[in-house]
Amino acid sequence: MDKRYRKGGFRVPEGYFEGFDEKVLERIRSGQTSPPVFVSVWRKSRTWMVAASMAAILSIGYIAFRTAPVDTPDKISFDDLDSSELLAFEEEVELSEEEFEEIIPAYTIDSLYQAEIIPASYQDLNPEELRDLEEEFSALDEDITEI
Amino acid sequence: MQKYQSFSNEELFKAFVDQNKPEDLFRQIMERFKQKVYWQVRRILVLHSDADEVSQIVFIKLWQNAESFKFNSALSSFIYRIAYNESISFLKQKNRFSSLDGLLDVDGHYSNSIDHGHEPDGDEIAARLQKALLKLPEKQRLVFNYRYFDELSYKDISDITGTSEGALKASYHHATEKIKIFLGID
Repeated sequence: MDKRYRKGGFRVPEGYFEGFDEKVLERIRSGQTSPPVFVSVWRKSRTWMVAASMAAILSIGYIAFRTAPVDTPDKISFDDLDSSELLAFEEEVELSEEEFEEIIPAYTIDSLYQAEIIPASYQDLNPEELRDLEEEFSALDEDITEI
Repeated sequence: MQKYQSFSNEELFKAFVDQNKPEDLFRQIMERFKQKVYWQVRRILVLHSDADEVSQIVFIKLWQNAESFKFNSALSSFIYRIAYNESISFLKQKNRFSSLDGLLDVDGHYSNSIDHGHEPDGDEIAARLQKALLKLPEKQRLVFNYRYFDELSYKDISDITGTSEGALKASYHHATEKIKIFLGID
């Protein structure tokens, strides 16, 4: 079998391995040895989740508001809130991972999914694929605890 | 430094620890393992930027935990185990808050990246195999990579992943069956 196939069809930038040792040693010398923080991915999905949960809360509030008796004293207008305010709020709130998981439990995401608040593109997976993926993730969890 | 070339991996690593971790000996250890580590990690994480970061972390961890190596097993197993653990924790962390995004990535973004010239080499068969691999459950993909690309024994894979050999064989069997279907091979 071709050596290239053994690499799985991937390619690396030219000269990558030549510079590798020095990068590692430099990090050891300077003490920059922590793994990276997933700022971009975390940030992106957190923004999305906060926005989605806000939408859910606002929707529930809106339905409650619409079905409430007409003489409700506090009239809340949704025009008072806009997305930039929500995003600004999200910027201000610094939550730990645990706090975030507490605030947004899994069923919230499920209900958002069912209510089609999550965009349709997320629903392209067929049930079998979803089940596979669930298994995959739970298997991954088991692996972690085993080690 | 010439004299170390005939040393076994374990002898070289012992010299490294005994001499209070000189950089030049660590370079020789990296020289022996960096490509194997990188490719193992790359096949798990797919993207070069992720594999680069995690490979560096693997050798940093090796440096930091050098004293904990017991010399009663192969150095390669010790290093591959670090590589496996770091790759899995990277994946887990990356997927933690973006499971839906992450799933899309596996099929959309990741497999798209296989088509782009700058990432994999565009070889048709290798790219098709890699795409098929991305459709496998994580565990089956890992076992397949270790067996097929790294040609490790089930015993070695069991040491690295902490999974029983029987379970690994079952996973490998499922993986090969599914890949045949994906690739349209009878």
